[in-house]
Amino acid sequence: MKKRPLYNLIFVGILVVIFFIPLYPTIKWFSLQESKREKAELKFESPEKYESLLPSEKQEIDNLKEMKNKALKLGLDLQGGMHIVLEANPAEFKNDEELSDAVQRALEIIRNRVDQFGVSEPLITRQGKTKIVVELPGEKDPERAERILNVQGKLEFKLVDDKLSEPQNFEDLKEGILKKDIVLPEDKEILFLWEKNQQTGVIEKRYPLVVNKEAALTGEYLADAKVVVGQMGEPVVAFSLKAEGGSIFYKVTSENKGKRLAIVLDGKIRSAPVIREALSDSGIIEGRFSIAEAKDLALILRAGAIPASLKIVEKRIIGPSLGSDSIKSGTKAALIGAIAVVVFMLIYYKFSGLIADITLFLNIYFLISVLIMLKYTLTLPGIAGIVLTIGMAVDANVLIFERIKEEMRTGKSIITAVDTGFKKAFTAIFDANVTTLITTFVLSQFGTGPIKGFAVTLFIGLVANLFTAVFVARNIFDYIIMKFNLNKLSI
Amino acid sequence: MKFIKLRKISYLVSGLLILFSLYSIIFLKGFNYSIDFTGGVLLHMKFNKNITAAELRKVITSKIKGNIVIQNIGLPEDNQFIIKTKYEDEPEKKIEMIKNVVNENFAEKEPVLLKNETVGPTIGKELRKLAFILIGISLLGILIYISIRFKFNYAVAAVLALIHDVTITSGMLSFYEKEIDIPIIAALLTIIGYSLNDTIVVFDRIREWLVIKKGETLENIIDSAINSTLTRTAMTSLTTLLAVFALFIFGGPVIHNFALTMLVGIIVGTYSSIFVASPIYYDWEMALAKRKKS
Repeated sequence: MKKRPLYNLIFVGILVVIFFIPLYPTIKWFSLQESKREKAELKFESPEKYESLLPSEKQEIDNLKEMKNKALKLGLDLQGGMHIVLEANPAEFKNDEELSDAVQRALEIIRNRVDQFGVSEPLITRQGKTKIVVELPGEKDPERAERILNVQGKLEFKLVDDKLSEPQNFEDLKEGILKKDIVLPEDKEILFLWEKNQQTGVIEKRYPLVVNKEAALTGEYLADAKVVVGQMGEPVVAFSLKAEGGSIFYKVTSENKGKRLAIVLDGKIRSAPVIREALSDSGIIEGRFSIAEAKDLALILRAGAIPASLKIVEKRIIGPSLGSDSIKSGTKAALIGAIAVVVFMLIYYKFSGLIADITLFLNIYFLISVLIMLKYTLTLPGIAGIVLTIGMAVDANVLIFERIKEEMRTGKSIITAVDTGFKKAFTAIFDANVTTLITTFVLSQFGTGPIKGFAVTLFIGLVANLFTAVFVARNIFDYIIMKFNLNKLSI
Repeated sequence: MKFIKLRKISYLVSGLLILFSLYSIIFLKGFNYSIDFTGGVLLHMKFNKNITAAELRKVITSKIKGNIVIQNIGLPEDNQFIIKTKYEDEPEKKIEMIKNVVNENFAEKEPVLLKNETVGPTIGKELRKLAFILIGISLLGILIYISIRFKFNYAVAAVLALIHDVTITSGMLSFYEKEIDIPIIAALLTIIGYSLNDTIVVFDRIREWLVIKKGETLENIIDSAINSTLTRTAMTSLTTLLAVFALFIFGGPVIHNFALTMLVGIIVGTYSSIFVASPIYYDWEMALAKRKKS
């Protein structure tokens, strides 16, 4: 086979140009000033402010956002944010199929809520049979986000049995225990009314009410919910019903005028107003809400109820300062590590060391470009993976160079020494890389995000390494030896 | 160098290290699992002024009941600490409580809450199981691959050397009470990959020379295989150590333990490729040959 190192190197050059395309937006994005970068999320963070801008300013923000979308994404540990794992209780369901179905629907409703909540690039995924992972990068109000995720959002309207609900019928108001001679009919149940304590802001149990077990109407019939100002100027949630729900609501309210209708949210009565007139397609929910709470409730009602009671089993809140510290120290470590390795190779292998350094640079270059193409999210373990790749990437070079040296010692000509050096080193490089790929593959199965990131980096780094340290280096050697007709090699 | 002749010494050194590691893991100290594996509540705090873990511990444990662990992370001058405690039903309250105690008592040290985490107890247990399974699976995968590409005997020697590396590195983590979190598991798996790299390079050479240098004794072949790959092993370990050392010094507190584990693992892994894997392979082959004769 005739060697054509120049053609091969031109091919490598073309690859370098092609792989620059995904890199470019990232370089541009991260060279912007931080204040500019922050602007990209304005549309999500405060839509009102965005809407009030001039068209040209809006355009600028849209452009920034587009650039951000194309750039390398940063993980929660590098930009701060919130990571929550919710778990459904399998005991609530008859079989696996039902469970899986409920978790899937729950996931969609959560996605719906998060979308309305206004987070850019939320990541909502299923984990195993029972878990849902929600990642909200850059979330600045984790408490509110948790409030929105942690409620089931099951809205019911239940008629109150006023006679049985009289306080004197209860032996213990706090516990909701009826007096001994009073029997609770089978179709009724006792629920508590909960009210917000104005001083502490905590929602507290107030008193029990006896209500119909069967809901007169549920949140499923809701068409819309929004915040309006109530009679006293306080924020309340106004809802409107779908046509079918409207007729049910009309029937219930017209037949039960004067009675109380309990508005039950997730098993807690939030208010129990007296029905004064027949209502058809709309109503309001009061509950001493703050504006933010009313907004959140409206949002939850709009998104619908989660068909399972989910429990938060894992929660991580990472502040933005930790992230920016990690980026700084991570890149510093990567740079210093790279420089140390580059200098070391130059000193030890001289001119051939330079070739190793070129291939090392290409290795990292291709690695980062592929990561961006794969829409990979960079995490701190990911940076560690890159640093490790820098250290290990030269291994292939070292293997080859040492082999070439050995061959040269036996008195072979340079061209055959290089040839056999590459050939003989290849099996070791190949086997070593494949076995490392086995461990990185296993690593990638380790559910959690950051470790996956680490494994992906190592994996791509290794593949890029096979290409740069073997193919690219080989052709550089061949070209230089042929072109300058070398009979001595600086190695 | 006569590595095979030296093997009695290296077996002794490795044996002692392994015994000591197991002693620390099983009897002495066990593992300091992070809340990833035990479940619990964690606060990661940074102070802008100098403060020690002891100062923090004294005040926090006197004000809040229950088992609260306070440990320094990163270098002492980072002034960063992990405060963790068991999982409770209302984790927010505990976080709030700890935060308040720190803010009230150490206001002049300017505390900043960098991160807080809550992990339910069941999740932790599942993850711990998964970690052991994954390490097992990768060792099995390696065993199979090397059996196919080389021979079963090589595979056994390589895997024993890897178990050696993981045991000693975990022993170090146990003895120095370093926290075992998910990144540490990643580091251990990476060490497996790395150490195997070294071992394979030597085995590749043995495989090659067994064909070329027929008639030589196995001992000589193995010795010269190790010797001729020695520069390469040293060079690669050095460059990798350089990179990991940069991570250890400059990578920041979060990655500190990970880098430390890698550092120890690379050193142990390099040692085992030369002094453990090949000698085990040698003894194995010799034992087989003896059995064949008799």
